[in-house]
Amino acid sequence: MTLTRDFRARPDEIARLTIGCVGLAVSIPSLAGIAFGAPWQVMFPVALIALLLGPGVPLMMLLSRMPTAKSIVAGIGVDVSLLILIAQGMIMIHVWQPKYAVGSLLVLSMMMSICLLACYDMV
Amino acid sequence: LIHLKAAAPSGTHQFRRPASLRFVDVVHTLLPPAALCLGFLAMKRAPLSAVGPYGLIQALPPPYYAALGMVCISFLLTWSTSKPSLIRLSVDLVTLVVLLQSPPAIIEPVARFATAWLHAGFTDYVAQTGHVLPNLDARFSWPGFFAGMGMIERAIGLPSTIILLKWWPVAINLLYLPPFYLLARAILGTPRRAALAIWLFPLANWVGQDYYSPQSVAFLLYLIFIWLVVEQFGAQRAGLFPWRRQQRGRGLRPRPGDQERTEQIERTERPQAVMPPVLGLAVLGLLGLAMIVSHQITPIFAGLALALLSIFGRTRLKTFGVLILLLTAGWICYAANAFWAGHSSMLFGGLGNIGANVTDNLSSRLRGSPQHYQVLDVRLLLSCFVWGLAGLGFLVGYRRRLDVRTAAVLMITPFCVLSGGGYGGEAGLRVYLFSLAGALPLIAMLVPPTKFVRSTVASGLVMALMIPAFVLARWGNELSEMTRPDEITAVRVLSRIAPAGATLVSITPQVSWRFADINKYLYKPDNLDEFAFVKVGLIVKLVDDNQRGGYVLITTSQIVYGEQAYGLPDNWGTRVEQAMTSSGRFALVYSNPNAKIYKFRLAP
Repeated sequence: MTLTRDFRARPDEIARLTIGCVGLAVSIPSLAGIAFGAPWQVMFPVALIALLLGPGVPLMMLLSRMPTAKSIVAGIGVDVSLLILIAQGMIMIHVWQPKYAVGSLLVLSMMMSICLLACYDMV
Repeated sequence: LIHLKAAAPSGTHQFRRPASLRFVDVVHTLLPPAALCLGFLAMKRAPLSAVGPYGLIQALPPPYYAALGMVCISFLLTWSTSKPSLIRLSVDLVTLVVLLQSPPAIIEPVARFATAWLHAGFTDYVAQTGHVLPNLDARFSWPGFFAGMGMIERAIGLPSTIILLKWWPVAINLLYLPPFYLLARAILGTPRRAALAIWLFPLANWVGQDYYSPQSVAFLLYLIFIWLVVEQFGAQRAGLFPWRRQQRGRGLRPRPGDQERTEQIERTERPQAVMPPVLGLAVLGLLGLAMIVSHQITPIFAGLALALLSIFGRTRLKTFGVLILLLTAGWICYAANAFWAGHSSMLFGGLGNIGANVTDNLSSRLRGSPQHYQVLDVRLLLSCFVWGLAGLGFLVGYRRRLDVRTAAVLMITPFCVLSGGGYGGEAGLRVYLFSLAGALPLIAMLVPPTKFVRSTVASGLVMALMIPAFVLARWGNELSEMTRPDEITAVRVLSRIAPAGATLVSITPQVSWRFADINKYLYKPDNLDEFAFVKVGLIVKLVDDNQRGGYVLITTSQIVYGEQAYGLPDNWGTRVEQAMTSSGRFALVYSNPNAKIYKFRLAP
């Protein structure tokens, strides 16, 4: 089966590839921005998209058989919850390292996006 | 590209011109962007000085309403087909939300609403220190939201979350749309009815809990939580009284709508795309925990809704709701003890006292100036209109044998919270907001499967009623709820001249302060209270015992709030100032057109 036919037959595949690529495209610059202290005006929109998209959205796409829209909504819920719970956990154990925490989430997001792209053929 | 081109079957990828490009389609496509442009221009030209006792409705010019009308027409054109286009619906919805929620952000020079500024201060404190102050404010006993936002602020290097305040309501309302649509779709089955439910949501949501606050994010999590429960763990079981269902079904002829109901049951019982149960439970657990640590009342709504859905046989999750409620209780006992220690009556005083709680919610809200009363009347009417239509939808849905139980449970559950407490007079607002998750799908059940023209006209009439009602109900208090730049300047001056540890007094709770230095001063009274100091003696009492000094901040917003919310005379602020000056205990140390700072003189 050719690539073209594959895409036409399964529109969700295009969405998977798009989410995987966008996930990588926003998480890598966000990580770099945090590491090198980029100005917040540049960082904020990119990092916000990165944190809303990952790691929940790629995870939902990898592990569930839901359509793209539903995976995105559930994934955003997971991401917002993770942000809240990780921050809450740091406060409770008196270890406040926001850069490391957000950085870890972004690395996780990057890995999930790579998995999403890598698992394309397996679907 | 070469590969794609070579692989494509001949003729497949050629651009096909539509057979006939209809004029209506072109106009339809252009309507939302045109409405957005017109609305923005209208809001840009709206004079701030025209905002009066009825709020923004007095300042917004007719083109703004024309823009809203245009986007409604666009929606009705989209909706009048048997299967509305999701892309067109999304564009219409985004336009509607932006038009409805952005007037203050465009008309007013700085972000509105005192509590949003306070929450920005809390977030900044957590971001800078990594600690919370549960003894300073009850909201720090549920710090998840402040911690999460503080973590992002610190990691990204935001100077302050104040910069997010202005456009937060627009952003969060846009985020509500997808889960609400999916929830409505899961309940109603048909995309056309779900489209109407989601369209009515921005118009019905006048309660204003979407400012920068823990509850705004908690409501988003609630919507996702309930959607997952209904769709991924939904069921069509008999519930509490299976024998009644058997009796009712015996010997009855098929009724109109039976076919539709059967299809709906099949859709729910055999969902085509599900997530593995373990993953689903893990996601629900994450959402539940995030709600529990972020907000006091939202997990109670979620737990109760889930428990009642289980009782009525609408979910396969038998005990998860109880677990959420137990975890909520555990959090209150463990982490929020600073809140309830010594104030157990606040927590349990209203338990079971439904009458008193309802009265508390109504009487604490229904007071003030005549214009304020009229705004409150519109709010009550709009709420009753929505609930009334939902009641009618329940009857029609029942008659058509639609699954009314899920929607009815989601609508009724929030009212149970009123039996638990008054929540400082705010429970009524929350009950209305959370009931929308069930009420709007019930309203959508009024739409017949056929007769598109009639239902389109009826929906248009409902929108025509709801648009002005929304603008008046949502932005009716804007004169007191807006923050003036002069007031922010005065607060910054105050933090410069007042020594650490001094007492800072506000004469009503409507003051945008504490967005910095939240623990540097003693702020009195707490802004969770309702008060208006018309006598100097009461102010002196608050500052008299502090040797580090005391300062009183009087702003235009505070005075207007006193007039609107407590029905005080127009000149009450001037009278208080005169009394303070003539008492000899206060000296004016700073003044601008919208704010004054008085310093307290300690008795020799």
